Amino acid sequence: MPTRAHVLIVDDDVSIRALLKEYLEQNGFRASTAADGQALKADLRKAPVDLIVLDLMLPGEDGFSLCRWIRSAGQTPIIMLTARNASDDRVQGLELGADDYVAKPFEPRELVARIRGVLRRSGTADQRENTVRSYAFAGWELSLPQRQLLSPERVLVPLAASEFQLLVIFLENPQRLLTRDQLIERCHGREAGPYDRSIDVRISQLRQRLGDSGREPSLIKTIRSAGYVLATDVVRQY
Amino acid sequence: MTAVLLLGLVLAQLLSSGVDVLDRGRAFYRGTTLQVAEHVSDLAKMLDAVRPEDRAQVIGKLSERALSISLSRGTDGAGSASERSYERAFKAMVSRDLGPGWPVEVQLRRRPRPAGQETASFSDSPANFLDRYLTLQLFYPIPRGFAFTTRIQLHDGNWVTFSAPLPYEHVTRFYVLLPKLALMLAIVVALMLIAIRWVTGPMKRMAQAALALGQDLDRPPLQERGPAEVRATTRALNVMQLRLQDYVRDRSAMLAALSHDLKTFITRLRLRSELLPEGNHRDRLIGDLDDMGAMVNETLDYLRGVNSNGARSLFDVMALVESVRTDAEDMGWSVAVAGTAQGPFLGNAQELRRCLMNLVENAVKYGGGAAIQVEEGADALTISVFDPGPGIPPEERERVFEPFYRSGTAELGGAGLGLNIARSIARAHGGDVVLQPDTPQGFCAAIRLPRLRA
Repeated sequence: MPTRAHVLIVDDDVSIRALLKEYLEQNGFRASTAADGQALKADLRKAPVDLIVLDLMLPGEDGFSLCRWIRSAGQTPIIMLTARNASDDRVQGLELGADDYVAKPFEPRELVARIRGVLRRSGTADQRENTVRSYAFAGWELSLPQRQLLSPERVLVPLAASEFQLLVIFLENPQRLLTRDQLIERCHGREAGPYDRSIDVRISQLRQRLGDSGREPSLIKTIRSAGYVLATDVVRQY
Repeated sequence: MTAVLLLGLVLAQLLSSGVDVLDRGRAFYRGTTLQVAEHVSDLAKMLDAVRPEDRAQVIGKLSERALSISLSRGTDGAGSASERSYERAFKAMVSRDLGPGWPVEVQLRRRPRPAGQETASFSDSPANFLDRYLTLQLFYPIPRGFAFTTRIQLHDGNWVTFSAPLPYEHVTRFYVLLPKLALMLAIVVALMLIAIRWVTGPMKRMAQAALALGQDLDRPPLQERGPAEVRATTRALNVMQLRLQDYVRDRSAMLAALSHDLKTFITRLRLRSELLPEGNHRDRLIGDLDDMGAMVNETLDYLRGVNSNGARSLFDVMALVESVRTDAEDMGWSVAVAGTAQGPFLGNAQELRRCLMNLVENAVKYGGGAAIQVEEGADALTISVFDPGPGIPPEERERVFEPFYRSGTAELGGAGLGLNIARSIARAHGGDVVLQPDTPQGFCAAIRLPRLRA
């Protein structure tokens, strides 16, 4: 990144604010903090930021309401941070326009990876990429807030976390060649763990979920010695 | 309780009617005997007053069907050697009516036989068993078919013999009473049963409700019905339920608040650990914090409860199992999958995924690996998770489902809620999680789910 991205941390816990600021600065971000919604609004009026890490539970106006307020003002990416773990919260947060969702206690490296991921997506040509709620392709439908894949027969197909991740990368880049290196880099935003399997195994699992595991897969095609391509049109729903 | 009441009632009824019959029998016997004795002595006095040559004619007029009278010059030799108590009693009655100076002999004889024949003994009585033992021995001193043969010497030395049968009243025959007795008993028993039901019905409902409370504290309160005492008890039970709900709610709120605050501290510590110099201790610190975080999350999950009315939809069973396998393998666990399912299943995929994941996690933690077997029956789906480990000792097999229980055989972290949550999820789907200790493939924890029609 040419200039350091500016991240605004909104959390009511003074220690977390200070520690997170220090950690993000160590990882190459510019970070500032706000203790509640009022401070956040004041800061944003002064100068725009590149990304907001927003705690859900705040004194006064809560994270959901602030998320709505920020979205009404612009497209500043938001990562929701919360001590509540219920998946309903995640769905609601994402539907209100948050770009990602991290549950406390989080792994700091994972938060950094998510921040980078969201910033990368917000830097793409399609600014609206961040607000995509679902993808429709070849009769299938993937809903992002619910993390649900529906088959053409309207049967829910549960996905492993890694399968979901890989599918989203393909859906963001339909009809485009993705090299194995690109896929590996995207999949392992954080560094690859000791148990990460080869990208080819993951692709074959994902093909199986999509009923695309025949002799000649038609959805995710293999381009010999180059990589893979999602060979279907994708309709984004916002 | 019903049995004891019934027995008591029947016994009391039998005894009271027994005593009644006995009294009646005695009184009747005494009354009629006195009458006969009086009659006999009156006739004797009258015959004494009549001239001897006219006596036969008078006797001819007096003889009735029930009383035969005959004259003789002396005793007929039967004598009065051994008098039975009945005979003595009758003789005393007659003698009292006659006054002093009248020799009297009394014998008990079988009636249908003509006078003058041998005296029958009681043991010859043709009465049946009931007559013998109930009528004769208990209530009525003389069996049917006997008569008192009374011989009285008139003042001129002649003997007059009266043979008077004692009436045998049918009421004294006990078995005749039985139908009436039975009817009476039936009415009383029916009334009692209604009363008992009125009391025990609500009691039973309360007992069931108290038991059900253990399963579901939020069940609707009982209706206050039945007699006043039962209503009061029902009310007490309902109040107790409300208090228990409050208590559990308070404790849950406390636990939730505590877990939530812990998350803040763990987050802080996790950030602090990242700012520490790298090294062995930092890695261990991070490991401990991860375990703490997992435990807190599990506790909050448990408190949140199973979303039993969560959205149900058709989902791909094998994709669910495979996705659990993939997630588990991404965590470095070894998991195998076998079997197939026929077609999609109706349920809450997210919850069932959590259910299976918990079982796989246990298998890996306690057994060193998991093998998932999917079996599709006619109307049920079974997903079994086998592990080659030592299993769970029999005495712990139900306890492992209790919240916060951890098998003592291993200190492997976790809050001890995995099985409890798994079972709640399965039960919310109308199924269950069961443990099977000794399958050929090792210890087995199985999710059984009835197939719900779409």
